[in-house]
Amino acid sequence: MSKWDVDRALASVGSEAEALEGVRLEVLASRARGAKKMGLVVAGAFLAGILVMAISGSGFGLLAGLPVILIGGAIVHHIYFGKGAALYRAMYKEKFLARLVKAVEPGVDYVPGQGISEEVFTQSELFGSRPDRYSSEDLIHGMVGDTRVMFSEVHAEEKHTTTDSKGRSQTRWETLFKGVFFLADFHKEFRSPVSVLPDVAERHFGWIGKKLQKLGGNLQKMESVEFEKMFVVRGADAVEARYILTPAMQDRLVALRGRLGKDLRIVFRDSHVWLAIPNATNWFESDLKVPAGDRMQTKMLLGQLKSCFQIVEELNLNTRIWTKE
Amino acid sequence: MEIFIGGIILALIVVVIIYNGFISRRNAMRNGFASIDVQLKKRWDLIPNLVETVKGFATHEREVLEAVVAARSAEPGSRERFAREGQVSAGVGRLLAVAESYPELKSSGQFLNLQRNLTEVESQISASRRAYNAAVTNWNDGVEAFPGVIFARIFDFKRADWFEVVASERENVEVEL
Repeated sequence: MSKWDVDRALASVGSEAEALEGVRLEVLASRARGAKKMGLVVAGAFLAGILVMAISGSGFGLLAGLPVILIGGAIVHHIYFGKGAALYRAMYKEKFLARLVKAVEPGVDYVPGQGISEEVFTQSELFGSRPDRYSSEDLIHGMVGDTRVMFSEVHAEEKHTTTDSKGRSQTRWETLFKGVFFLADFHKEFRSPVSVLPDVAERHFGWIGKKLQKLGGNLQKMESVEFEKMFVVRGADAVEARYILTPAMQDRLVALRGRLGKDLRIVFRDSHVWLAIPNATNWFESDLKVPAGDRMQTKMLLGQLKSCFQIVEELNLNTRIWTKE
Repeated sequence: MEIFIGGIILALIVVVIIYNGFISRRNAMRNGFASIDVQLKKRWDLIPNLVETVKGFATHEREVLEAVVAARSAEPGSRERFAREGQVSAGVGRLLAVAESYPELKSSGQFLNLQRNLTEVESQISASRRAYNAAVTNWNDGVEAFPGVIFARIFDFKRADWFEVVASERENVEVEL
């Protein structure tokens, strides 16, 4: 039975799922009580409004109930809806997901509250400048076979401030990257970084785009036609770029892009491989509406974990036939 | 008159740009070749150790040493040199494959170390060869495509040969790199 089998995984996290189920039901019950209280607040506010309207004789009297709804609603929400769900989700990660991760990859640890640091993200130079706003969570790190890996969810944003003719400034936040940031030991020694980025220029401008690529400097043209259509490779050392990107590795990256999406970015730097895998949805999260040990939810989480862990196998990172240990 | 002088200056600038382009392509090609040469020399140095280690297990270690001697004496950059190096590659592959039949050799620390070093060198040779061939392609494109072809004739720039894998090396069982 494969380690990614849902039944096998559920068997190893069954006790955690049972323990969490009590918490989940309590949170749901609290929410139900909250909903009732909210109903009472709304009804009370409505009655208060009618009373004020009757006394004052003005239709605007009905608005008197509005502050009651706002204040009362906020209090009820805070008591019955606020912390419970967040607490359950945190517990789910600490107890259930951490155990699930261990069950599929015993050599790694899951630290939900931590993530890949902003320094590491910036060091990759995959997104140019340092982000202005950065957050990261769901750190998974440890050994997968002979390879040390580390990945987490990252949201990096850039601040753009514009000023109009009247001197009014407007700030908007643009996402630089949102998704999973993956870092692993690379099995070969090299000195200069080699980046493998989406070939946006060629994709959009064809032949002219191909010519424009040269302006960026350090362009390395690889042999695989398919690979070249998808990626643009830059590296200061032509030999090292090819030492890393063997024809077999080019094929692997083409396959990986097929699975992880056209905006996949990769850099080989400091004897590591770094991957930025864009992803619009929030991974490694639980749904309060379904039991902790729900089969579909567990299957989804296993799929997310597998998607990350199998990179080691797909890039053949556990092979140790070169001089690097 | 001014237009005429301007035209001459412009033409001179174009000639300088094209000529410098050729020089930079030729340097990339030479640099690529130098990288191959460094790795090939590394391999020459490792082979006597490999031969010594597998002596007693293999029967064709002498052929590999002879191929190394022949490769060393061939003119650098010549077709003969490339062909000889191909024979060395194939011979090294055969010697490394001997370990498959002899578990005591497979578990020998010295052999494993040599195997790793040779695999590393082979990977580096392969990468250097591909970099060299990419530089050769770039050079040949310049020599053959318009308007480079005109200047190539004026400056006597000729097509360069790729470092091709010889048939014997293709037949060799290669490690997945």
